Amino acid sequence: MLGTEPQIIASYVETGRVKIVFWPVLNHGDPSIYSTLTAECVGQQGSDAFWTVHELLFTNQRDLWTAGRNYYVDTAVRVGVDQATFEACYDSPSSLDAVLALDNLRRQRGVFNQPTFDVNGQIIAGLHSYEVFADVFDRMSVER
Amino acid sequence: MIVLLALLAACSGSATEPTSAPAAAATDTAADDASVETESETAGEPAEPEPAATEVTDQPEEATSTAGLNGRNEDGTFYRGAADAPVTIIEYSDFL
Repeated sequence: MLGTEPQIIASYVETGRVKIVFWPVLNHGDPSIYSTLTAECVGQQGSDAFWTVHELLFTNQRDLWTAGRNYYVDTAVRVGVDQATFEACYDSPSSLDAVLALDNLRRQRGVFNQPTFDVNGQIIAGLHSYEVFADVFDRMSVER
Repeated sequence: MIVLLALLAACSGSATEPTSAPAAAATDTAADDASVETESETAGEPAEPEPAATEVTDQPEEATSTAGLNGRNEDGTFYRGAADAPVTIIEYSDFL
């Protein structure tokens, strides 16, 4: 969604018409788990920081296949969170459990492929253009 | 003859002027140390890679454009946008 996200944010999110929720899908083993754990631990220090690291991780997604703990600590520091707090979170089993629990919950909801979008209950599978999302948002706004 | 000499003198004078002019300008800026330094520190900074690099490592990544509209749901997921927006899109996605 990163490609269409700036347009959606400018036209719909900043204008109060749409709220975006990010639900992690861990379909690629350790790289998925530890990138999501990084987002979780950055997010524990602030929701704004979460969205900043969310963008950074997507932008650098090629790095994530081989990234290790040091890479994620550096990433967290780059977005301005406290390093010691981040590392304590990153090393904590309960943080890992929280990430895995969300992943299990999406399976229970029947979501197996990514990306999948749930717009007020309407499921949209796969990547789509900005126009496709805009049409759905406009229709949903009128229906309410 | 006098006219010729005058012409020769005039020509040799104008040929040296351009070379001496920048040199004079250079010494001017160097002499103006105090004012030039403060100006070049602020105005010239983008051209210098070193201070810019330090800024990147010290400066956190830019905040998102929805800063202030972001929050966390009870289930642990994060959202961006007005909590009471009429449309909610849940993006199920991996960072990879």
